[in-house]
Amino acid sequence: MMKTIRLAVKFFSKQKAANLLVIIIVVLMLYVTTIAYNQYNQIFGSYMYFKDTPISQSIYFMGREAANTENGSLIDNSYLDDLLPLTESQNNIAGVSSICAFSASDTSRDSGFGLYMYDKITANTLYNGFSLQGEWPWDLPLLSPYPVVVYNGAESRYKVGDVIELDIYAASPLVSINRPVADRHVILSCKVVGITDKVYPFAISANTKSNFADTVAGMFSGGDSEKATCVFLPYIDSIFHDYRFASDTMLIYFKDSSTEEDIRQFQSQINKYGYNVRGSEILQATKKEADYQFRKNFFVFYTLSGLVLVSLMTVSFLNAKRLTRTIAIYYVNGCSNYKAIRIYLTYFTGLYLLGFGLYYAAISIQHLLMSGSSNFMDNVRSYLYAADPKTAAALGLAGLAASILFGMIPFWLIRRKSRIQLVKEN
Amino acid sequence: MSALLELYDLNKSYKGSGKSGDLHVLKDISLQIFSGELIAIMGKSGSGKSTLLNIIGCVDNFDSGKYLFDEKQIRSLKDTALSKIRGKDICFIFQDFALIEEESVVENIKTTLYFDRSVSFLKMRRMAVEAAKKVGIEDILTKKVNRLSGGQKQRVAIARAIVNRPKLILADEPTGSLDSATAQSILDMLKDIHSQGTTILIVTHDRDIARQCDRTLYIEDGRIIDTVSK
Repeated sequence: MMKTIRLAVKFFSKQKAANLLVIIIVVLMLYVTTIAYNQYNQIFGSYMYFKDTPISQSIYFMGREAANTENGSLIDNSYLDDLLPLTESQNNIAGVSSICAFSASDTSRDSGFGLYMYDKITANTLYNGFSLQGEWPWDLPLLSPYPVVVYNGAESRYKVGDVIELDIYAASPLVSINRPVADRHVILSCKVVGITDKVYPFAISANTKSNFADTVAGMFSGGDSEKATCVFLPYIDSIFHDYRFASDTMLIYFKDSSTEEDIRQFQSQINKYGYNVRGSEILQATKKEADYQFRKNFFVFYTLSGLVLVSLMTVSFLNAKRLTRTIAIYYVNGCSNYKAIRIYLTYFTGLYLLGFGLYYAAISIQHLLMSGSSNFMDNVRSYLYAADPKTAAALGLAGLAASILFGMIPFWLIRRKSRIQLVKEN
Repeated sequence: MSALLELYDLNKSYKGSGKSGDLHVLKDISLQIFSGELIAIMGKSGSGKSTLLNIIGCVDNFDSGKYLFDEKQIRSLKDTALSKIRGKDICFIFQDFALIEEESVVENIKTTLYFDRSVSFLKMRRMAVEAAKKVGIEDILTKKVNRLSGGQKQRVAIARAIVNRPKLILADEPTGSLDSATAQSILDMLKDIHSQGTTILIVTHDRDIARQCDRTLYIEDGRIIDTVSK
């Protein structure tokens, strides 16, 4: 092995300019692919996630934008008195979502975190496929201490079996301290029944006030909560009834057996209460937007990737042509075909690993700088440069396979020439 | 003396290279070479002598016949086994030296050792220095080959050929690119190596060289037409 490595190093030192070019090309190839991969996940991620969920058979509803001058709230949700009985009277409605965000603190630890409260349908939609240690709380009896699932975020604060005394208060930005609502504060004893290692990237609190939700990401607005501790609690009607629609948005889920006509008819009945749109339409809009972004961004990706691979092959060809005479001399002096390929592969893998190391360092530094930046746009775009070790390793292996393939083709083509002829060429 | 290599009815053609189809370059060649012999092969250009040398050196194959080297059937051996013979038992010296120009003298001498598993990485340099001493180039070990004269380059090539103590050295016009004084010194060096027991086969056009060998084979049109022993 020492000898093979030494010969590979000789190859490396023989072709400094060509090697530098190969390294630059490898860095570029991995860099461009990472950005494209992250962009693809971002664009298609939410569509792929939600396309087969009950959201496709739902209506997204927002109350009309109007302030309640009596209690100071920015929203007037008096229409709920009519809308909720209407939904309850419909046989083809499976449920109404409760996806309200609260703020909470652990009274014993004096630490704050996000509290998300969901009904069972929404919870199943959002956590479908998530891994869990313990069990989900939505099917458990809703008795004190109330079952919760925790996402520990950056710290490992809680484990299954812990009891948390939660000091909960309504935290919708639309119900601010300046515009308080009566009795918005409650202390609740909860028991951790499950720990999840993942949190949905959108914070799942439909607490923005808008008359239009164009994509599913827009429905579940919010920031990246990956580092924050989150507690997920089943909706408890007896406690949270008054806060259920503090955010003024809801999803009305229809049963699978409902027809287009049923849904359209219901929409015509609720038009007077606020803006509403079919979940399937939002999914379609999401897909359309994703397709558009895909075409726009991936044209650049494909063009760059093509250029990178052609450059790699050209450089490899020139490189291999110069190395072929050396390999032919090795052959005459006792090197087998197998050994020649091993030397070339060791050389090329070393070259690739150098490129990979440079790429990983560069993209990690860029991600670190952008995610820690005070510039909002840099911060938002930092996801493009995220390369966790697993993804980077997979990408690296795929890149290595592509590089070897493109790097070896010229090598094989040149090797077809008689070796003894090559040895005699000066 | 035992036969180091034996050829029986060896034939070799290059497909589609001749005016009327295949070019039959070696025709029913039968030959025995004994350990310790110094043999010259003479013939006009295109007579087939280099092809014969390449087949003996296991860098080219043949169409029919039998080739035994050290009692091993060469035809039945796979590439890996052939490469062991090339690196360990048979070494080449070429007219144009076939050295890696941008590398140092010592690295060029070590070339065959890189492919011999029985030689450890650490032992390689010592063996290369020993070989360099034998051909009188021990003071230029770190020099790049592209800075050497023709005579020095051929000495490097000879050092590379003898470094692993092969049984057979195949020299293809080893003095062809050298002036007569240098050529004679190279030939003296080969004779010295031969005197230590190595079998040497020299392809040459030079009658003076042939005269200094134990045996001369004359090849014409792919056949051995004459053999002259000293």
